[in-house]
Amino acid sequence: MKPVHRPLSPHLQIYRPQITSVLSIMHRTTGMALAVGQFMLVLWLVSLVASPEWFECYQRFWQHPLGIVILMGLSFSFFYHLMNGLRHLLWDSGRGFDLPTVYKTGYGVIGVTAIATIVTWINIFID
Amino acid sequence: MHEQPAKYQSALGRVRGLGTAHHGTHHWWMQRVSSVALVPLGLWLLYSLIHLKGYTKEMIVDWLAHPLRIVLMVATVWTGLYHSLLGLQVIAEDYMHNRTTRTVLMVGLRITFFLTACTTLIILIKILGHHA
Repeated sequence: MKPVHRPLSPHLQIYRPQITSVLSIMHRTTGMALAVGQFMLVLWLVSLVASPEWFECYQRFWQHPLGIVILMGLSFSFFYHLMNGLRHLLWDSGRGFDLPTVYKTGYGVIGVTAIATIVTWINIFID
Repeated sequence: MHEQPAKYQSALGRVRGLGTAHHGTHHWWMQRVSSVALVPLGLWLLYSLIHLKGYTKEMIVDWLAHPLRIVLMVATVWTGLYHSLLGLQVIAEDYMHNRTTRTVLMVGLRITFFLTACTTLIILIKILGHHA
Protein backbone atom coordinates (compact mmCIF):
# COMPACT_ATOMS: atom_id res chain seq x y z
CA MET A 1 0.00 0.00 0.00
CA LYS A 2 1.46 3.33 -1.01
CA PRO A 3 2.40 5.43 2.01
CA VAL A 4 0.51 8.73 2.28
CA HIS A 5 2.91 11.52 3.13
CA ARG A 6 1.41 13.53 5.95
CA PRO A 7 3.17 16.48 7.61
CA LEU A 8 5.25 15.67 10.71
CA SER A 9 5.72 17.86 13.76
CA PRO A 10 9.26 19.20 13.98
CA HIS A 11 11.45 16.91 16.11
CA LEU A 12 15.15 16.87 15.25
CA GLN A 13 15.01 20.58 14.49
CA ILE A 14 13.82 21.59 17.95
CA TYR A 15 14.70 18.85 20.46
CA ARG A 16 17.75 19.78 22.50
CA PRO A 17 20.68 17.39 21.97
CA GLN A 18 21.54 15.54 25.17
CA ILE A 19 24.29 13.22 26.22
CA THR A 20 21.89 10.28 25.92
CA SER A 21 20.77 10.92 22.36
CA VAL A 22 24.10 12.25 21.08
CA LEU A 23 26.15 9.32 22.41
CA SER A 24 23.57 6.93 21.05
CA ILE A 25 23.68 8.23 17.50
CA MET A 26 27.47 8.48 17.75
CA HIS A 27 27.58 4.77 18.53
CA ARG A 28 25.67 4.05 15.35
CA THR A 29 27.74 6.48 13.28
CA THR A 30 31.09 5.16 14.51
CA GLY A 31 29.80 1.64 13.87
CA MET A 32 29.09 2.50 10.25
CA ALA A 33 32.47 4.20 9.89
CA LEU A 34 34.19 1.11 11.27
CA ALA A 35 32.23 -1.12 8.88
CA VAL A 36 33.65 0.88 5.97
CA GLY A 37 37.07 0.86 7.65
CA GLN A 38 37.03 -2.91 7.65
CA PHE A 39 36.85 -2.99 3.89
CA MET A 40 39.86 -0.67 3.86
CA LEU A 41 41.60 -3.22 6.08
CA VAL A 42 40.73 -6.10 3.78
CA LEU A 43 42.01 -4.04 0.84
CA TRP A 44 45.25 -3.62 2.76
CA LEU A 45 45.52 -7.39 3.16
CA VAL A 46 44.88 -7.72 -0.59
CA SER A 47 47.68 -5.22 -1.26
CA LEU A 48 50.07 -7.53 0.60
CA VAL A 49 49.68 -10.23 -2.05
CA ALA A 50 49.21 -7.87 -5.00
CA SER A 51 51.89 -6.23 -7.14
CA PRO A 52 54.49 -4.00 -5.42
CA GLU A 53 53.11 -1.02 -7.36
CA TRP A 54 49.65 -1.62 -5.95
CA PHE A 55 51.02 -1.90 -2.43
CA GLU A 56 53.03 1.32 -2.82
CA CYS A 57 50.01 3.14 -4.19
CA TYR A 58 47.77 1.98 -1.36
CA GLN A 59 50.46 2.72 1.22
CA ARG A 60 50.96 6.23 -0.12
CA PHE A 61 47.28 7.00 0.18
CA TRP A 62 47.34 6.33 3.89
CA GLN A 63 50.49 8.41 4.33
CA HIS A 64 48.90 11.35 2.53
CA PRO A 65 47.32 13.98 4.85
CA LEU A 66 43.81 12.96 3.76
CA GLY A 67 44.61 9.34 4.53
CA ILE A 68 45.94 10.31 7.95
CA VAL A 69 42.81 12.30 8.73
CA ILE A 70 40.69 9.29 7.79
CA LEU A 71 42.84 7.07 9.99
CA MET A 72 42.41 9.51 12.86
CA GLY A 73 38.66 9.37 12.32
CA LEU A 74 38.75 5.59 12.26
CA SER A 75 40.85 5.34 15.42
CA PHE A 76 38.53 7.75 17.19
CA SER A 77 35.57 5.68 15.97
CA PHE A 78 37.25 2.52 17.19
CA PHE A 79 37.87 3.78 20.72
CA TYR A 80 34.49 5.44 20.95
CA HIS A 81 32.60 2.39 19.71
CA LEU A 82 34.66 0.19 22.04
CA MET A 83 34.06 2.27 25.17
CA ASN A 84 30.40 2.96 24.44
CA GLY A 85 30.05 -0.71 23.50
CA LEU A 86 31.25 -1.64 26.99
CA ARG A 87 28.68 0.80 28.33
CA HIS A 88 26.04 -1.05 26.32
CA LEU A 89 27.20 -4.36 27.74
CA LEU A 90 26.89 -2.84 31.21
CA TRP A 91 23.27 -2.00 30.40
CA ASP A 92 22.74 -5.50 29.05
CA SER A 93 23.74 -6.82 32.47
CA GLY A 94 20.90 -4.74 33.91
CA ARG A 95 23.11 -2.13 35.57
CA GLY A 96 23.53 1.61 35.29
CA PHE A 97 20.16 2.73 34.00
CA ASP A 98 19.63 5.48 36.57
CA LEU A 99 20.21 8.92 35.13
CA PRO A 100 23.24 9.95 37.24
CA THR A 101 25.07 6.76 36.23
CA VAL A 102 24.07 7.21 32.59
CA TYR A 103 25.67 10.65 32.68
CA LYS A 104 28.75 9.50 34.57
CA THR A 105 29.46 6.58 32.27
CA GLY A 106 28.67 8.81 29.31
CA TYR A 107 31.30 11.36 30.28
CA GLY A 108 33.64 8.49 31.08
CA VAL A 109 33.25 7.16 27.54
CA ILE A 110 33.97 10.57 26.03
CA GLY A 111 36.98 11.12 28.28
CA VAL A 112 38.59 7.72 27.74
CA THR A 113 37.98 7.92 23.99
CA ALA A 114 39.63 11.32 23.75
CA ILE A 115 42.62 10.27 25.82
CA ALA A 116 43.09 6.95 24.03
CA THR A 117 42.91 8.56 20.60
CA ILE A 118 45.38 11.29 21.52
CA VAL A 119 47.82 8.88 23.16
CA THR A 120 47.64 6.55 20.16
CA TRP A 121 48.49 9.31 17.71
CA ILE A 122 51.26 10.75 19.84
CA ASN A 123 52.61 7.22 19.82
CA ILE A 124 52.36 7.02 16.06
CA PHE A 125 53.99 10.36 15.35
CA ILE A 126 56.78 10.07 17.86
CA ASP A 127 59.34 7.56 16.70
CA MET B 1 17.74 -39.96 16.37
CA HIS B 2 18.40 -38.74 19.94
CA GLU B 3 15.53 -37.86 22.21
CA GLN B 4 14.48 -34.21 22.31
CA PRO B 5 13.14 -32.59 25.47
CA ALA B 6 9.36 -32.11 25.47
CA LYS B 7 8.35 -28.81 23.90
CA TYR B 8 5.01 -27.40 24.86
CA GLN B 9 5.10 -24.62 22.30
CA SER B 10 2.72 -25.12 19.41
CA ALA B 11 4.02 -25.02 15.84
CA LEU B 12 2.40 -21.65 15.32
CA GLY B 13 3.94 -20.32 18.49
CA ARG B 14 7.34 -21.36 17.29
CA VAL B 15 6.93 -19.64 13.97
CA ARG B 16 5.48 -16.39 15.26
CA GLY B 17 7.24 -13.68 17.19
CA LEU B 18 10.66 -14.26 15.75
CA GLY B 19 11.06 -10.68 14.66
CA THR B 20 12.35 -9.27 11.42
CA ALA B 21 15.68 -11.04 11.81
CA HIS B 22 13.62 -14.23 11.76
CA HIS B 23 15.77 -15.76 14.43
CA GLY B 24 14.26 -14.44 17.66
CA THR B 25 16.89 -13.37 20.12
CA HIS B 26 19.71 -15.02 18.19
CA HIS B 27 20.64 -11.80 16.43
CA TRP B 28 20.73 -9.88 19.72
CA TRP B 29 22.81 -12.51 21.43
CA MET B 30 25.32 -12.91 18.60
CA GLN B 31 25.79 -9.16 18.55
CA ARG B 32 26.85 -9.34 22.21
CA VAL B 33 29.04 -12.40 21.78
CA SER B 34 30.86 -10.91 18.80
CA SER B 35 31.32 -7.59 20.61
CA VAL B 36 32.94 -9.29 23.60
CA ALA B 37 35.26 -11.22 21.28
CA LEU B 38 36.15 -8.02 19.46
CA VAL B 39 37.41 -6.27 22.59
CA PRO B 40 40.69 -8.21 22.76
CA LEU B 41 40.81 -8.88 19.01
CA GLY B 42 40.26 -5.25 18.07
CA LEU B 43 42.90 -4.06 20.51
CA TRP B 44 45.32 -6.67 19.17
CA LEU B 45 44.66 -5.42 15.64
CA LEU B 46 45.19 -1.79 16.58
CA TYR B 47 48.38 -2.57 18.49
CA SER B 48 49.69 -4.68 15.60
CA LEU B 49 48.97 -2.07 12.94
CA ILE B 50 50.79 0.58 14.97
CA HIS B 51 53.70 -1.83 15.46
CA LEU B 52 53.91 -2.31 11.68
CA LYS B 53 54.51 1.37 11.02
CA GLY B 54 57.45 1.87 8.67
CA TYR B 55 57.62 -1.79 7.67
CA THR B 56 58.16 -2.69 4.03
CA LYS B 57 55.81 -5.04 2.25
CA GLU B 58 58.19 -7.97 2.76
CA MET B 59 58.58 -7.20 6.44
CA ILE B 60 54.84 -7.03 6.94
CA VAL B 61 54.26 -10.35 5.18
CA ASP B 62 57.12 -11.84 7.21
CA TRP B 63 55.55 -10.63 10.41
CA LEU B 64 52.10 -11.87 9.49
CA ALA B 65 53.12 -15.28 8.13
CA HIS B 66 53.02 -17.01 11.49
CA PRO B 67 50.17 -19.40 12.35
CA LEU B 68 49.13 -17.58 15.52
CA ARG B 69 49.05 -14.14 13.88
CA ILE B 70 47.22 -15.49 10.84
CA VAL B 71 44.61 -17.09 13.08
CA LEU B 72 44.21 -13.87 15.05
CA MET B 73 43.89 -11.85 11.84
CA VAL B 74 41.27 -14.21 10.40
CA ALA B 75 39.39 -14.23 13.70
CA THR B 76 39.47 -10.45 13.96
CA VAL B 77 38.37 -9.80 10.38
CA TRP B 78 35.65 -12.45 10.37
CA THR B 79 34.25 -11.49 13.77
CA GLY B 80 34.44 -7.83 12.78
CA LEU B 81 32.64 -8.43 9.50
CA TYR B 82 29.99 -10.50 11.25
CA HIS B 83 29.46 -7.87 13.96
CA SER B 84 29.24 -5.14 11.30
CA LEU B 85 26.74 -7.15 9.31
CA LEU B 86 24.50 -7.59 12.34
CA GLY B 87 24.73 -3.88 13.11
CA LEU B 88 24.06 -2.79 9.53
CA GLN B 89 21.02 -5.07 9.44
CA VAL B 90 19.58 -3.21 12.41
CA ILE B 91 20.28 0.12 10.73
CA ALA B 92 18.62 -1.07 7.52
CA GLU B 93 15.58 -2.24 9.50
CA ASP B 94 15.35 1.15 11.17
CA TYR B 95 15.60 3.37 8.13
CA MET B 96 14.34 1.42 5.15
CA HIS B 97 10.59 1.24 5.16
CA ASN B 98 10.04 -0.25 1.75
CA ARG B 99 10.05 -4.01 2.20
CA THR B 100 11.49 -4.81 -1.22
CA THR B 101 14.34 -2.31 -0.88
CA ARG B 102 15.10 -3.55 2.61
CA THR B 103 15.17 -7.19 1.53
CA VAL B 104 17.42 -6.43 -1.41
CA LEU B 105 19.76 -4.53 0.91
CA MET B 106 19.82 -7.32 3.47
CA VAL B 107 20.65 -9.95 0.88
CA GLY B 108 23.18 -7.66 -0.79
CA LEU B 109 24.90 -6.99 2.53
CA ARG B 110 25.12 -10.66 3.37
CA ILE B 111 26.60 -11.53 -0.01
CA THR B 112 29.12 -8.68 0.19
CA PHE B 113 30.27 -9.65 3.65
CA PHE B 114 30.44 -13.31 2.77
CA LEU B 115 32.60 -12.62 -0.29
CA THR B 116 34.85 -10.33 1.74
CA ALA B 117 35.26 -13.00 4.39
CA CYS B 118 36.18 -15.57 1.72
CA THR B 119 38.67 -13.16 0.16
CA THR B 120 40.33 -12.57 3.52
CA LEU B 121 40.66 -16.27 4.20
CA ILE B 122 42.22 -17.03 0.82
CA ILE B 123 44.68 -14.13 1.09
CA LEU B 124 45.78 -15.14 4.56
CA ILE B 125 46.21 -18.74 3.51
CA LYS B 126 48.30 -17.50 0.59
CA ILE B 127 50.48 -15.41 2.91
CA LEU B 128 50.95 -18.32 5.26
CA GLY B 129 51.77 -20.62 2.35
CA HIS B 130 54.46 -18.22 1.02
CA HIS B 131 56.50 -18.54 4.15
CA ALA B 132 55.69 -21.99 5.41
